[in-house]
Amino acid sequence: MNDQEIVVAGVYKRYPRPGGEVPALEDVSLTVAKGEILGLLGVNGAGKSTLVRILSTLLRPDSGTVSIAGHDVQAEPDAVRRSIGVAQQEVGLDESRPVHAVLDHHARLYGLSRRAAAKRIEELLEILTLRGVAKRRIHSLSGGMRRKVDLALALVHGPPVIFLDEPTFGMDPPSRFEFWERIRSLRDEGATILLTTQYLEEADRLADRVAILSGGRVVREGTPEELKRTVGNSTLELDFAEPAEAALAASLLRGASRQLRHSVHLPVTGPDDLRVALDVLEADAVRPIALRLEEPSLDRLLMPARDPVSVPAEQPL
Amino acid sequence: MSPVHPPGWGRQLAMLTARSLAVSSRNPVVAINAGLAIFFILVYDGSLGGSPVVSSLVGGNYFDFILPAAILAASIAGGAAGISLVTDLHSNYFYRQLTMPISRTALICATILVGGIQVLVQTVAVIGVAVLLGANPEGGLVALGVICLLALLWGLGFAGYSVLVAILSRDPQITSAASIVFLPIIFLSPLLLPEEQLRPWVQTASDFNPASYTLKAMRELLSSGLPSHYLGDAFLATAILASVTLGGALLALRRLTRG
Repeated sequence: MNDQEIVVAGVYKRYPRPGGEVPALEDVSLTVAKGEILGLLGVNGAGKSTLVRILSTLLRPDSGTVSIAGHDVQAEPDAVRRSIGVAQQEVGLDESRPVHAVLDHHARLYGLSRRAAAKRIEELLEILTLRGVAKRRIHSLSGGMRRKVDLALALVHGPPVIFLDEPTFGMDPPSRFEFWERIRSLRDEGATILLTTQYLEEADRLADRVAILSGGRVVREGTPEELKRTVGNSTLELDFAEPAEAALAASLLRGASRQLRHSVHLPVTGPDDLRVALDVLEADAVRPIALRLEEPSLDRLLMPARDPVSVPAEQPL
Repeated sequence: MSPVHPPGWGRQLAMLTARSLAVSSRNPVVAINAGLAIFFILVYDGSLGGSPVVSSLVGGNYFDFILPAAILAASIAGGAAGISLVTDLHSNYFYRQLTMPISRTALICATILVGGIQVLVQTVAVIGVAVLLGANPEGGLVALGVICLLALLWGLGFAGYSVLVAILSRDPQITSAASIVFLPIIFLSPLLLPEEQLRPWVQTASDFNPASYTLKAMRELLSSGLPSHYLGDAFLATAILASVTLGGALLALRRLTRG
């Protein structure tokens, strides 16, 4: 039995522009298993939203195949639409109407009976802490609340597959943490979730697997831990009171690089490296004023490789 | 949750229409257009209705003659359908609806239907005010009902046109400005004088103008009721207009969603 709820195979999409076509997706293939959260990471213009629009039947791929819950998006779009819930990057809300009325309208359009709709809406208002604004018109709500209403609309029919396109963009940290909790609960309840985000912490904390999209191609794929291992080691960051001390430390520590005038970065693989580095500095009486251990982060996968800044001591910054 | 079973097409249409009516009920454009239509008949009657020369030109009471023109003028309210759609496009709500298992034709037809209903409401208001001001529809209530039906069809056609422009342009200003096409359509018809009084080139244009058949049928219904000599042509012309604009809007939507 195939337990892949989302299967994308060899998808290409180009947009016509004056002077030629611009590639948005180039041979994109990925799968998401039932009950899994796939984090789709990429910078602006990487192709994340284009892929979500194809998955949610808003856009046709130029070539390739996409199936959701066993239904082909081009051959059976209605079956796909019955299986998905979508929260787009830009919230799509019926601005002039009250929250409850909009939720009820959507629930009924999905075929829920009046009683089932009322029960489901009560659940969502409770879970997403929207009860206090249920009678308010949507245009009067804050950005965070509007995001929650948008999510409620995506969930009102209890879809098995959920697409969340940068769902926490613009949310304050408490709302974001609360949102993450809700996404985890959905996964625990068996939903399959594709989440696009630019927040690497979000992908790191939520996703079972991460795919990195760059220039319309999937360039990396794996669990957050696997990807972080490909990034490299942890980094010991040492700050010094004087630039001359930083320069001396950089010369004493093999593999260290100078960062700005007062700092040195040293890749380390474990506690032994840390101890050895401090011993070497202590032997020459070079004492840092601050130490930080920077764990490998998915951030580095999205950023172009940067050489350490080489700063002559005499050059003011 | 149990599997999703969306309602049938007719139920979807009813639900989407109810939603659009709820949204448009907060929009003052219907009342403004009705006011303009009433102002239109008052001004024309005030300027020309007292003239025996004009009365002899139109073959009777100028107020009764100009009333269908005011009803037709009210159909510009159908343009609100396009504005409503472009608002949903801009708020992204329209795209959310496209991710739902609802019929595209129901989505478009509901928007157009609301435009037609707005025209119908205005038509009833205009006729009501006209009767209060002294109009004397000889055709009686049945004739007035048929006039309302013609106005609804005409409104559906104009609403379809505005929805077509909204989908093609996705621009509120262009959609709003597109209503200007209404002016040549109503003025290249026997709007102010009977057809035989028009210059030949206007008469020719009038022959190809669906508004002419609607005007003539409404005037005949007001003056002598059923049966109406022009009614078949009027229904045919307005039905063709509504079908063409609805078909165009659906094709445009298909192009929009094909990506």
